[in-house]
Amino acid sequence: MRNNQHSTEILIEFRDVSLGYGRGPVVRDLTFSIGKGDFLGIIGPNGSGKTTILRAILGGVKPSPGAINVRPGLKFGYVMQRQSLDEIFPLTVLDVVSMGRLGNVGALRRFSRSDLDTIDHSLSITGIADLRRKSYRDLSGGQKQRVLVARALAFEPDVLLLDEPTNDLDIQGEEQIMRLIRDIHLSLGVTIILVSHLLNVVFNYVRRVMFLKDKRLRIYNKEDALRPELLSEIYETSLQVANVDGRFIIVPTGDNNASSQ
Amino acid sequence: MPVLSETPLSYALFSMDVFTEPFLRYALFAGLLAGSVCAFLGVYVVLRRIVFLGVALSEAAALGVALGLFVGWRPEAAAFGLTLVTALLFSLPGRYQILSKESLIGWAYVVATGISIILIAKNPSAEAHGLDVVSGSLLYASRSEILQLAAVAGVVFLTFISLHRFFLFVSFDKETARSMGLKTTFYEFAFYACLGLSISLAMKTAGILFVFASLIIPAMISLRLFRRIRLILLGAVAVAVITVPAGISFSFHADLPTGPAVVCVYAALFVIVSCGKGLYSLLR
Repeated sequence: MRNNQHSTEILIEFRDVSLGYGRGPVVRDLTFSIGKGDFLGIIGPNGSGKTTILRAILGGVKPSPGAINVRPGLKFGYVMQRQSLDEIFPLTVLDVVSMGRLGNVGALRRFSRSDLDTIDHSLSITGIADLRRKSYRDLSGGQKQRVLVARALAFEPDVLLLDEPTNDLDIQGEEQIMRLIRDIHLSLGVTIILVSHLLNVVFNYVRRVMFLKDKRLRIYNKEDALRPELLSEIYETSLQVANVDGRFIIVPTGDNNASSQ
Repeated sequence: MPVLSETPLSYALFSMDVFTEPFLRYALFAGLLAGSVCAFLGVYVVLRRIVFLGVALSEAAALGVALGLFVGWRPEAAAFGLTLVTALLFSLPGRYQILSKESLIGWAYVVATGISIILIAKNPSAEAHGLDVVSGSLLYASRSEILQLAAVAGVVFLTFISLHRFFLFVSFDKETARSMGLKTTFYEFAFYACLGLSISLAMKTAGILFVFASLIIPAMISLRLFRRIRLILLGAVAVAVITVPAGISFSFHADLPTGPAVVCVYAALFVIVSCGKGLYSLLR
């Protein structure tokens, strides 16, 4: 499905892109664009190719066939899945967040005053300034996620890519991280691309939603995507959308034949 | 040589008067240089969980020495070349779906060991060197070997002091480092080149056992003692600097081969530190 709904400046454009790792495509025929200031959620079950799309945007996976056009000079802040990091490394919060400035300094240069200010600012925005001397591995899941977001912000990105930022967090942790991401989007104007398999987490924050299903992509504005019949068809189970105090909650009705009715 | 039963253990470990002997002074310098550079790099080896690769690289270096002696090449050059190629092969990104990377490293280890034993057995002039390849020949360290080790240690320490933050970032989270524009392939190559160079030269002088022990045990001890990466790196070097003279002195007084004696002291220190830490945790 094609999407050309942006009136804003296009930052990233996929044209008929297929992506894979040599054993056939994981996702195919992707055509979409991401504009400046967008807040896009990519939703799909585990293994559907969500992370592969992020890697393709970062240049780590090459399209075959197709083309991915990224505006020259665009800076990406990547927040990878926290579980992928090995906690054997004895790093402080400051060590981890400082890594975000290494892309901006030369190999033999010390951090400048401006670099240190940016690191401090990233720690403050993410609410972890008081944890800077703490060991990263001693933190809670939510705190670790904030550290990784702070590291990405220290790079001063135009686009923030987040891969399953709420994995293994409790409800409070999920809510806090998603609010933080929304605040970063609103206050800093950073374009956000967020990958998750959790419908309820994504729907209450993003502007647009992409569904990955059967290796292909469907992309909608949030309001369109909230139609129960559409969600039921995509997820092949009957789903209802409830609005509780302005928040959307998507729940299964228990009728698995609903999609075919 | 005197035997340990006639000498108090503390004297055997800590008497520095043995280093008045010129050949033991050479062994001391060679051991300090090889031990400290391996201990420093070993912190990365342990943190990156490539300990098994460390022993395979030591064995590749041994094969290089055996091959060099067999065909008449410079053993150091052959050891470095083979170690570097092995390190780079296993540092390449790849998808190990059917055979794990560990099994391939194990394959490389046994093949390198087998071929080096065959090459040494078929080369009478190399047989003496061959025995030293395993247990070490620190006592026969020459002035030129010490100078080579000093040069390598200088290069490795300068490289890591300059690029420490980048090596750490790439080791901890290569994918994010790449996404921020860091030349991760360059840093990986530099890391493995330093590792290959250090292991091959240290192995030729001190033997596989000494090198492998210096790669892992000082790092393990330092990781038990400290929580900051800079302190851990310094601590690992300090462990090597303390242990190597004690091990050489111990080997002299107990009439033991040098490499295994140093390994025993490393191991004892690890047990003492671990027990001390455990006791401290209980009493806190």
